[in-house]
Amino acid sequence: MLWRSRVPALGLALLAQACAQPQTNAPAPAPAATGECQQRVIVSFQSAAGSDMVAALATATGVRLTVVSRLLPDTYVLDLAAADCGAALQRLRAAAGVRAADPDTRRHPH
Amino acid sequence: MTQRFSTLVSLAASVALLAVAAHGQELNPVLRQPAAAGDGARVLVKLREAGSTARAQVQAQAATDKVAALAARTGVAIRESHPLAAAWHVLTLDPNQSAADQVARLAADAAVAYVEVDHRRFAHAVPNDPLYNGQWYLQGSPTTPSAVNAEQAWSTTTGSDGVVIALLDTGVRYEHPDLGRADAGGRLLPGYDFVTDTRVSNDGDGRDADPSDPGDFLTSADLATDFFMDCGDPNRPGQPVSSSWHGTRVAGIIGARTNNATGVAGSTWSPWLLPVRVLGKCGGFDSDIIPAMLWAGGIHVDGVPDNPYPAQIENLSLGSTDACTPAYKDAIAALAAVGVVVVASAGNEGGPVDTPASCQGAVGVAGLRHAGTKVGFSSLGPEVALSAPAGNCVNTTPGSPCVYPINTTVNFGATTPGSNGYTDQLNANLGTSFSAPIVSGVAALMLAVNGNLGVAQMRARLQEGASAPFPVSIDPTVPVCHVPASPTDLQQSECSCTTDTCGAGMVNAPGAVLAAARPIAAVVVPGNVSPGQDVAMSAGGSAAACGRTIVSYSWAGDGLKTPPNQSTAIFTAPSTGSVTATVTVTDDAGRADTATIVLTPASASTQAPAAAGAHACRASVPAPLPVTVIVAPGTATVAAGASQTFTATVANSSNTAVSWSVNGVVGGSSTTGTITTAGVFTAPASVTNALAVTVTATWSGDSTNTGSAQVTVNPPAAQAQSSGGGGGGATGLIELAALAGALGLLRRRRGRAA
Repeated sequence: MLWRSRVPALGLALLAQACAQPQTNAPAPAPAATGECQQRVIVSFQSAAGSDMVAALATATGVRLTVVSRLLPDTYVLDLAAADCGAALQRLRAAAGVRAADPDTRRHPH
Repeated sequence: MTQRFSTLVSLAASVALLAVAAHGQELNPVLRQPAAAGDGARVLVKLREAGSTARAQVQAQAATDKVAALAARTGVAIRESHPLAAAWHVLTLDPNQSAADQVARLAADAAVAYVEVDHRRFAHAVPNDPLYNGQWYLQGSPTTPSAVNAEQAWSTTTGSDGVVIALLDTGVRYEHPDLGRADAGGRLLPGYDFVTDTRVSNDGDGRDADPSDPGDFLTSADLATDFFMDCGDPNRPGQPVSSSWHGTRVAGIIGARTNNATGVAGSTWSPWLLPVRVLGKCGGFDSDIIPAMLWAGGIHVDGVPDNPYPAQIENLSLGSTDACTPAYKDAIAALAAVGVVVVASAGNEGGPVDTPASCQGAVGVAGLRHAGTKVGFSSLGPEVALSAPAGNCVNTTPGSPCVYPINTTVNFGATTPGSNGYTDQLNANLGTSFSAPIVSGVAALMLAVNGNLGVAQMRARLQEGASAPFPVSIDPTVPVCHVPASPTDLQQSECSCTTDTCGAGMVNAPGAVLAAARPIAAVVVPGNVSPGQDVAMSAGGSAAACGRTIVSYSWAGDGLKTPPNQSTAIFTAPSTGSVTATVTVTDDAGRADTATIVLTPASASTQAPAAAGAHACRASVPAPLPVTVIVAPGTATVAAGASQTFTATVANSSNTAVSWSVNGVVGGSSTTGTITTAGVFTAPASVTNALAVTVTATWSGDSTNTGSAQVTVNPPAAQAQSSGGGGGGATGLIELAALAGALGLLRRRRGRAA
């Protein structure tokens, strides 16, 4: 964000700081029920996984998951919908066969 | 002293030989030093004396005596001498004796601090770009120790068109005169737009084949939404934010068209730049950035055509503060496996290094002031590989010129694209975003001299060639940088770098190119070892840099059973403990690389590759074929109120999107006729005389790339006469079809009316 000219240095620093805080993507996945939150997440399995693994994960964790795309053989971009997105993410992380589950974080130009 | 002299001679010889070795892929002529530099038998000698100015004057008066005494003690026949300064003398030696021997004798004298050959020097490759003078960061000067001294590196290589550098950013302005499309003599390859969310993309759609930057401005209405509310200027809450043209800025630093008498110079002169759009309004998301990284490196991504121009270097001037995620780690590892190095900026918060620069395997780059200290805004930490200039304005007040900006290409549109131009001291460009592309450009120069460099070698040799140690500020109030203890432990003022905070040193272009020019030692070791076994190893897969050859091998270590100077060797595996073996390969320029192998009773392991590769000289990547737009039919005659469908065929691009206009007006008008986004032209409802209009399809990738058709709109009677007159051939058929279309339209209208 420091490309902006004629802006006081402090402002630049604050702007950069503000803009650099990780934010997560709240997309419009499969319609969520009233009171549900939605969040896009990146889930890595411990080995190559098909979409059946995603379905099994959804069943095992009770989190509604929609496949957005597959990044790597073991890594998916998923949209989750749940009553509590933070708790749902924790359940995904704790699930058997899951190596990592992270929010789809927003990045900014430096 | 002798060692230093030897090093200097070796360095000079290496540079000279490297210049000869550089392969002929440069597009622009540069000044090069002759292969035989021809240093004379003249040396610079400094005597071990110091003192006050008055004493120095006395010493100068006595210089002749001191030189005579030195000659007498060393037996060197000094033909001529004159003082340079106090205790410094230029001596002409006996040309009939060995220069090295005479220098060694002088250097061994107790009164001599050091002896250096009076080397002949040559003008470096200075590009003719008129704004180059403002690009201090590419030059070399004692007052700007962080500058990378690219000129010296350019005397060896200005880069290779066999190297592709991907810039994952906001997209680019293809029409910038210092960048330009690769199919039209410029540097920018077609690339791809990976931004999925239309709120971010600002181009009306998700992923597509057009990575042009439409602007990332934010309106007040944008900033009032949850999605954008954190991206405003905290000093101007709710106020619109102008477009950054960030990708265009980054592109110019890496590889603006150079020595073209226009604008600025790039760090490397002749790379291909692959724009991959991952950022838009208020940044971009990992779910787009990570697949874009894979795609840019030539790895298949579902739903996207494979990249025809896989990059060897990816520049990511982006990030945010959190720990490296497994998805980034996996992506960077997958890219490393196919030889793609990821260069990423550390961040502008003055805190811990952002992701993805913090990820293992990435080349994280921190930002320096001109003086070589950390610039206040740069993030820092042990994840940083090395540092590069990021720009600093040196105590200026708002509105006054910035003294050390990172000048580059830019667009001036506040929102949508406007005119193209360059940043300068009043429109200053600063940030670690612009440190990373300097390193990416230097990495491209390295690949030009040694295309076999893998990711680990690239990183190690960037660090090897870096200038170190970091300068320490002479201002006692400037602290030494420390490793951030937490995300809130910010160092937003200048501090003196350490290797724990700013990496191995300040990127140095000639140092990096020299390091790259060393050969790559490779070793094949057996998979299984048993105690006391004869272990055969081969370094035959080692490779020299472009234009060089391996001339010798040297094995060493306990248990070596075979002659040490062959490409293969046999060691006896130890019964207990471990043994370290090495093999050093040397090329015909005297440059060397060493691989280390650890032998245990059960294994043989090495960090060296099994094979160094076979692409030391990178083959040129051919420029893409020009994109053409052809509209069919090329001519048409249409009755007033009738319609004609046109098709646009875009050749040589996966981006086939066009916009349609009539007489230059997108969508046309009621007086000239209208045209839909599908190319259906509808003539004005009535015309009194024949009307000639031009239907144009404009390629979405380049507004100057168009195809057109000429259309005559006739009053109904004239249309009938024209059709009846029988122009014949295709045109006649088109006219008939148009007439039929018009009749059909009339029927439909009547039907609706009924």
